[in-house]
Amino acid sequence: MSQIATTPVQTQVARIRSPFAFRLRRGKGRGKLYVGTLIVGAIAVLAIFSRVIAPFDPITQDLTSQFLPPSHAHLFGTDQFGRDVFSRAVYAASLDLQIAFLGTLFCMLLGVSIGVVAGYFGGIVDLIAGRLIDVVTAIPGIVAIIALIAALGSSMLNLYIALAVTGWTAYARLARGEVIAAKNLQYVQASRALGYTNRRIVLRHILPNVITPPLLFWITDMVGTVLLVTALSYLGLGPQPPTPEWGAMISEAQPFMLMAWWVPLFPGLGIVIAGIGLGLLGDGLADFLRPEVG
Amino acid sequence: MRYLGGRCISSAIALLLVTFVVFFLVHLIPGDPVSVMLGQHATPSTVAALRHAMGFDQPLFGQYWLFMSKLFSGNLGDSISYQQPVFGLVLGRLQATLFLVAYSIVLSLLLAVPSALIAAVFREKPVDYALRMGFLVAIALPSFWIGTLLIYQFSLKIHLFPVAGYGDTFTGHLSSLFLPAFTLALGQWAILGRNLRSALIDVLQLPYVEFARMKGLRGSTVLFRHVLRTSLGSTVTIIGINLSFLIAGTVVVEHVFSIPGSGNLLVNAVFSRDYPIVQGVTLVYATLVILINLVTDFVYPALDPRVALT
Repeated sequence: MSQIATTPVQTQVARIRSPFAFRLRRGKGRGKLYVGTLIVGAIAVLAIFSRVIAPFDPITQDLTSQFLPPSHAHLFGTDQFGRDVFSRAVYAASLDLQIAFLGTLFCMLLGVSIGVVAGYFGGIVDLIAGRLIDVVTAIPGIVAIIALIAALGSSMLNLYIALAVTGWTAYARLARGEVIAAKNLQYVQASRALGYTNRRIVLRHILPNVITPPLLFWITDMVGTVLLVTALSYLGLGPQPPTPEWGAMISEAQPFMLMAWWVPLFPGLGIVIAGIGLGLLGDGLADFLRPEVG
Repeated sequence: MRYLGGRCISSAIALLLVTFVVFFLVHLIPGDPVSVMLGQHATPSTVAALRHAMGFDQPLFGQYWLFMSKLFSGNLGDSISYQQPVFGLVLGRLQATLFLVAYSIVLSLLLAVPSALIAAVFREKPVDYALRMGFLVAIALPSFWIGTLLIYQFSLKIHLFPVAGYGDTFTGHLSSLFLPAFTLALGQWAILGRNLRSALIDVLQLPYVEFARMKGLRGSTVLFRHVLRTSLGSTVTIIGINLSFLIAGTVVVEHVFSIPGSGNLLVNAVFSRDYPIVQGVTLVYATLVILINLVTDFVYPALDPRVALT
């Protein structure tokens, strides 16, 4: 902390002028926030521009160049079909991040809706929502998803359905708790006294005030969902080969591990780096948005 | 006691609803579930026989009634690929899974308690930053990938542990399941370590700790007898809450290390379209999770007298 910043008057002036920019320079958790944004941004650029960035086609086989170790031509080497591991890992980033992003987005929309309605109306609605949450949390996540995919069949749509059906409960719990706390605050009572409809109170007044914790959890949830989705396709229940996908790449490479360690290594590193980036971003944002104590 | 009574009732309701979900699962199968299960080469008579055995020729409510009455006599139907009762099959395989879960909890505590103590005592020092970085990385590690790398390094290259399986004796289990348990423990280590670190830091700042130090107690006595004991209460709850997560983890790890556990049974059942097994494993796992959460609720007040549940 520089001397200027510790002077109360100066601090206040800076806060009034631009609280956001001030905290970005001085606030807690900004280091995590910067590094996390950088990592997630880099992976997002790789994912969005995968067609431009990947030097080779991810699916076309070239049996004359099997198991080439990492080199200038093939940054991460080649696999058992002579495909460029780097190109496949880049395409996989776009698929896995898309599933993690959209899958958790559906969970959040579903969970926040259920949680807000249950918290606001209470009574029988809350009771039913509570029992639903109990049932879904009782079945361990991946077991429920495997069971659903086993019944519905393995496809992208069914994967999204299974993710949404099993992943909404944490959002619902968070939103419900926040709404119950907000319900008795003066601004809600004031809007009731003004005769606003429930719909207007919930959507215009309560929702903006309770959405921060679910939004923060959303980022943390993506870390878990990347792991979940890659694990499912490792088990053979996700996107099917030859689609480039991190988990499937690792599972396909396993029999040849002693011959070519680079084929399973790099897709795994992709998962870990994406997870660390999202984890830092989530932690950093949480520190950043939390009201500063002391 | 009233709180715990309420928890018992809501657990029972959850269990009942789980049976409904598990029952309904086969009705999500597009088309005729019996033909799907038996494959293309089934004759119409075997299809009709299985349909009758599973009660599909009855109305939906009657089917659920049949399912529940069978369930209460411990009958979950017969596996299609193994031609054996599902209940026995799942329970038989459960031993390896539970051993793996217990083993990984022990390993994760052995890792998490010392690292949390070090991080809390040397707070904001390089070793604390290093450990917190470790927690962050460990949470992002995919178990199937780290498991694969561990097999490569410790089983294929230096032959320290078996590549796959469960072993026959207790020491055999310990050796065969070391790598899979360690794989699972890494993620748990991060969750428990993070939580215990912040619990320790909170307790270290309490006045009674300062008083114990002023009284002239040795630093280690204060740390282990007074601070650690108070902080471990929340760790028990975290283990309870994370058990569902851990059981989910065993499904993947059992597949990586080819352990004959119930998770592996589930994954193989999906590919052989053996729906009774999928139902059985789901039901048994959900029952386990519900029971464990209930037990955690009962154990926690006994461990931490400050929590008085009314």
